[in-house]
This record gives sequence, structure tokens and C-alpha cells, in this order.
Amino acid sequence: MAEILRVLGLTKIFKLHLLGGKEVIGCKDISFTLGTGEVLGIQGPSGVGKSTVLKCIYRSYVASAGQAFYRSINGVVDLLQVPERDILELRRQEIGYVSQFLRVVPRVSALQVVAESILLQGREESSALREAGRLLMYLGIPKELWDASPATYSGGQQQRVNVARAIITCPRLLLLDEPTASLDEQAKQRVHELILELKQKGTAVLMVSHDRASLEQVADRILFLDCVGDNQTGEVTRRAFEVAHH
Amino acid sequence: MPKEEPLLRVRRLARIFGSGCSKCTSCTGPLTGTNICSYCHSIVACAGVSFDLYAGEILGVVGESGSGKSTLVQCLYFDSPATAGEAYFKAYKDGQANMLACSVQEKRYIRHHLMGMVYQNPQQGLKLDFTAGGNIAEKLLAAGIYHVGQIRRRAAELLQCTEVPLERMDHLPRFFSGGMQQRVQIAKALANNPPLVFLDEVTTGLDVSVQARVLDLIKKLQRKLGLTMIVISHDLGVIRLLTNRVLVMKSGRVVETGLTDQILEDPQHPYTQLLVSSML
Repeated sequence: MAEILRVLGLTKIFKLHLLGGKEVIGCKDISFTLGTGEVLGIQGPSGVGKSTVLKCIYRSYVASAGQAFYRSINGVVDLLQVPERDILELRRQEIGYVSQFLRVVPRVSALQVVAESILLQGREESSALREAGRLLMYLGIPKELWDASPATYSGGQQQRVNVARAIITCPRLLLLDEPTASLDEQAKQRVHELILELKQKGTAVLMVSHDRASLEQVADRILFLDCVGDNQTGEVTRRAFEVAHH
Repeated sequence: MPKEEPLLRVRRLARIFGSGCSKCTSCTGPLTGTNICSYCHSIVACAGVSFDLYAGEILGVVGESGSGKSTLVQCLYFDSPATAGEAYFKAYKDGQANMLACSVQEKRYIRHHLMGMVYQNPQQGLKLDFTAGGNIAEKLLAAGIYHVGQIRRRAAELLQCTEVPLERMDHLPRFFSGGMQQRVQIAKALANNPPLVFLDEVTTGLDVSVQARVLDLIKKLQRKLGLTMIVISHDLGVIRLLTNRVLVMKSGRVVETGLTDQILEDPQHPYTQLLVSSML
């Protein structure tokens, strides 16, 4: 298993200028590695900074310190430093991200939303739509809803569309933020199967979840993020440690 | 990463209205919160603006009224002369010469052959008492296409592309709705397949359903034609929908640049934080 991602000392501190420059810690000194075909789960209580880690790696957030060395098709880059133009290209070609909540324009059909990312990669339209349909079908979205906007869907259906649009490209690195949080048991299993299928093909997956059972089913390793409060000073210390499993 | 040259490189662009003095740029800007030089009372509309734009990219410029975003585009489209700075455009002399310093004839050539512009106000981009087809013909004539049949064919094709009914081709835009005027303007801007298109607040003032239709059209055309665009808007919703990267301007300066999602989710500059927190 070749290493594809090495995160070192990742730290994010938000500076809130509207609150007089108040600083809030998002995550602090997070380090881990990830190999091709490996699934690393990130677990921990709400607000501990799990999503922040993903967003810093995807560059939706500007990290305050640290490095994230990623072995791209064209060589190793520090994702936290590469030019914006390169990040956009990596997002288009290699790195997929499933946000916690789907955000779409309410005028675009689910089929189009899911096909979008492979259309951007240059896939021909009818084959892209076929592929999108196949995924939606597999994830149990009724065919009569495909031409409606996902904005009109239920929470669980939206989350499945969200997963489908990211995995359709078969990315080399996949960042998943609570991909199964609002799903019923059957849909959850389907999503797990898709993740494992990608893993088989060599995709490296970083999966944030607070659902231990989910992580135990798909993750090879689990990174646990924790806050420890000091009762005396009120100061919060963050810890990250790997927990053994399997 | 494979390196490619930018389509447009802008360096230290400035536009000052008034006599200007040596203190103009140091005593204006976001720190002092004013555009007016306290020594010579010149207005510094924008200064020190630098950025790169790559082919196929859509760059947003966002900021409040008076932040200098329109002035920036007017300088690049030669509507207004830049006071200082350089701009290198790959489509003009392979990006080797500063286009802001070239002759009037060359500027006219660049404007008519290599650029398209869509203004907020259709009155600025269209002659409302010339037919829709005639407006498009004007742009084609300026670029040296004189064959009437060819012009009419191209005009029809463009109007179809921008969803203007063909039977309106020989009608006057004066009697069109705001949304349709804007679509004619887009057709005109795209007439010569320009490598670079500017959109200045194109949907401001349109009601929401018309706005959505115009934005969807722009998005569709961008994908189909691989357009490179600079989109100016004070509306973060428009910026989110259309752009990949953003420049945030305040008091004539760029205060922050970033990926569009990063600017919206993790704005760094106090002004950007205020702007994002003011979103509906």
C-alpha cells in the first residue's frame, strides 16, 4: 500500500473580526498518513474539528499551520500551499469531497447534478447521464424523481445524491463528511458497499463520522479526535490519537 | 502540475480621477476607508490591482458600490484609460506587450476582435433604436465582417443561442423586456467568439426569475464554449453560482483573493467576513 497523503501538524484557528478579532480553535496539531486503497475513519464528538480537517485538506478553509503532502498523478504537492489554479484542477481530476449537507441550485435535475463532475472531466453527455442513473438507481432514488431538483428531496435522499456526485468520478482521494448520518439502514449499507468498491479500486478515503458502527464496518484505522477541558482554567486541550480496531 | 501561461496578467493597475499626486495611493484604501486623496482631492477608483486569469476560468470580482470593481473592468476594456499599471493579454502579441500602453487603433482592435462586454445597463451595450440583429451586426462589422448573408446567419445563430426568439431579430431592443435586452447584449458580446468576456453586474435590477434564467444561460454558454470570463457582482449568490475564484475589493484595493468556496466559508479579511455575514 503506497502512501498517498501525509498530514503533519494541521492546525486551524479562526479569527473572527466581527467579534473583535476573537480566536477560535478549529483543529490543532493533527497528523496522520493515508495509503492508497485505505479507509481512515475520523471519529470524535461534535465540534471537535473533524470537518475542519477535511475542509483544510480540500482547501475550503485556509489552514493556519501544517502540511498535507499529497501524491498526485504529477508528483507530490502540499495541498495547503499549491496555487488555487492547481487545487481546482486536482478537485476536477483527483480529489472528491462529500459535504455534510448538499447545496445545489434548485433548477438542476438530480441526474444532471450527479453527472456534472464527469461532464467537467470531458465525458460525453449520454454516457455521463447513464452512469449517473446507474448510481442513483443503486442508491435507491426512485426513477420518477431523477428529473426533479435534489433541493426538493428528503434529507436522506439529498445525502445519497451528494455521495453519488462525488464517487461517480472514482477519485484517487475521497473526503467524506458524515456520508451516512441521515440514512436508513439499507441506504447506509449501499453507501458502505460503494465506499468499499472504490477502496478496491485503490481510492484512499478519509471518512468523518460520529457513528462508530459505520466506521468499524468500512475503516481500516480510526483516528479519534477529542477535547479535554481543564476545570481550573477553562482551557480546552485537543488530542488526536489512533484507536486500534479489527 | 503542468505549467501554462495565464490568458491575462494584470499588474498594479490604477485609475485615478483628478490631477493625482505622490500621496494619492498611500492615503487612500481600505485602511483609511476612503477613495479620496486628502492632499490633492483626486479620486483613487482603484490602485495596485494585480491578478492572473487562465483560459477557461471564471474570475469573480466582488465588493460594495464604489469599491472600484467596475472601474477595473472599464480599464481592461478600454472604456476608461488606466492611470498606471500593465496588462498582458495572451491573445494580443502573445502576451508580450502591455496592452494598456498600445495605440488607439490597437486598443480598438483588441476590444472588437478579442473581447466581449456585457454591461449592467443594456443602454450602454446596445443601441436601443437599432434592431437586435443590427446590434450584433455592429460588432461583426467592427471586426471586419461585411458579408450581409453571413452577418444575418451569425446573428440568428447567436440569438438562438441566447434564447431570443428569431422573429424578434428585426425588432428594436427598446421594446424588449429587461431580461431579453440582456440576452441580446450577451449575444452581441459573444459575436466574435472572443477569448475574454467581461460581465458587469449583468443581472442586477432583473427580477429573480429572469435573473435565474440569464445566469443559467451564462453558465450553459460558458460550459459549451469554454469561455473565459471576469464576472463583477456585489451579489455573492451570483458569484457562488458562476465563479471558481474571487477577488474581493474594498476602497479601490484588492483585500483578499481565494477560491470561491473558501471566500464564502472561511473569509480572512475583516471586510470579507462582514460581506459574507451580510448574505441573506
